Amino acid sequence: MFLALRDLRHAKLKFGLISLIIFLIVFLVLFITGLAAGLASDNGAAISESPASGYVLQKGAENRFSRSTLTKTKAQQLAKKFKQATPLTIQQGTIQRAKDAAKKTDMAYFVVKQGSFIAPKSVSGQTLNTTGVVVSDKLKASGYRLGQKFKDSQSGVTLKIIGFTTAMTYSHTPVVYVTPNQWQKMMPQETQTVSALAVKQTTTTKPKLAGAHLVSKEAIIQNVPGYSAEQGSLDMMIAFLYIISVVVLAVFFYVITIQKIREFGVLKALGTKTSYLARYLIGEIGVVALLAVIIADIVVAALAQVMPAAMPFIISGQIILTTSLIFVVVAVLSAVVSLVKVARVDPNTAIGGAGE
Amino acid sequence: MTETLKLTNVVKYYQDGDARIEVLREVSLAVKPGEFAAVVGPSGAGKSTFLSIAGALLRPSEGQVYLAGQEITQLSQKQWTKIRLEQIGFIFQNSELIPYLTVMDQLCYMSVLARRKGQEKRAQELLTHLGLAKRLQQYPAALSGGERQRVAIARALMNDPQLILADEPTASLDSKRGREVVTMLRDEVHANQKAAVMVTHDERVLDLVDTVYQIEDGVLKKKD
Repeated sequence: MFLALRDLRHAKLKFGLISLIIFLIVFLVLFITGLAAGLASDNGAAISESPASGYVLQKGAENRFSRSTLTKTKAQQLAKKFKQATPLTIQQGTIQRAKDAAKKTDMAYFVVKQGSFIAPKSVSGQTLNTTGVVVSDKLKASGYRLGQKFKDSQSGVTLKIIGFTTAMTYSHTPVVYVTPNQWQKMMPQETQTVSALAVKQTTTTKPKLAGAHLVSKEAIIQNVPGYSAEQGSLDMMIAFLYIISVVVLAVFFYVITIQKIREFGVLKALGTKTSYLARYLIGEIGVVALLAVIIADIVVAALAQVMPAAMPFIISGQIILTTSLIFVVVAVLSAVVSLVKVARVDPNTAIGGAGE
Repeated sequence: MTETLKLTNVVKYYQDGDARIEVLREVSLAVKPGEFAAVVGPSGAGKSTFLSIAGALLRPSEGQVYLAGQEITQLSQKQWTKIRLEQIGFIFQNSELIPYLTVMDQLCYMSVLARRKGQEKRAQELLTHLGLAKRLQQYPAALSGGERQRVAIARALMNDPQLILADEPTASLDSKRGREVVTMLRDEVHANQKAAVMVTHDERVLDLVDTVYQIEDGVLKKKD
């Protein structure tokens, strides 16, 4: 590290700029990772955070609630095959407050039996019962308060908020949990059907189900409208950022190495081993990358605290750490091309002056 | 007394298609401790090749190279690196100092490589002796050409090698500075009983050396 530290100190601007580039890339990767996680949560928190391990959907529903319909008798038959199973209906809709009829809010109805295992846990107010509905915390941003009444835009039925649960969302809209009784008033034509059956299963054996099939929670999330497309493009961006950073860093360090070829020749002639030069190069890159990554981590962690609610952003310490580690490894890997070059430098080039 | 550097019948040739280009022909030379030898000759005469072979940087095609009685001709690159570090001090043309090391660190680097601790005092003494006491914390860019070459002399002496090899040390200096540098080198060689070989085409400094060899078309001859 004798040479590395002194070179870093001497060429502060050069290494500072490289550090800045690594910082920007790491920051972007972490930012997109956080955004992807945030959007994923925003898209399917009501499913991913539900205690249900899977769902029984109508055959041919392609893992989508919107395409699945089970009659109540069918649902009851199917429910017998599981230890715990409860009917669930999901329907997207629009609500508005009586005072502010012009301002409508898109949301998703989750019709669940009060007291069933998929009934929401209230953070404030009462648990779900026939006197009113429990809604997602997200509705607070649209001005909805505990005890307030609102109207379902389609049916005109008025519902009262008796409790708030955590930020439960489905397809980027807040979830309103209603009981089957309330649902019947709103949708009198749909009294005989449910969307699916939420089940809790500990064994991995799949029971035989006529006209229906069991879908895992993960498969449901993947098929929430827009989820795969959204996560896919974000994952691709992250993958490309890794590739870009490897190439950019490899080119940078290669150019720096080329500039130092003569110097490496002299160092070797003086009796420096190639392994020492390799450690010097890797040490230099390691320090530059580590510094950039640490700064990026701090900035992202700070940013996560101040992101507005409208921009879902979730990042865990573990993800920050993993990403940082990958980046330092990637930076060191990018030095490999340069190391090959250094290994090939002939110490004899030091003799005979620059011209020969 | 064993010669510090001995070359016997050293030949170096390169194959160029069918033709064989001989750069050195049957070169023999011996330098004793405390002897300052110069090898002069026009460019292209084989001076650099001679110095590379003497400095464990290039393998001769034929002949033997001895350093302090030990034959080093067929040693591995790794062993050569160790020998260059511990037993040979190089002074290059244009000094070739490391741009990001201070004058002190140029010398300390040599002892770091050789894993010798607590050599700061020695570095300081060497530099003071060569008149660089005020330049210790400066970078090469801030030094004059003569000062840089003096730092290079100090660096070559740092690990207390038996042999000093100088490659055109006066090439980038005017005649006055060139003479100064060679005088300093001579004084160090004599005072510390080192063997030294200087390759040069600068005939004006030849009165300062003990032995002069002339090289022409790969043939080395002692000059009287």
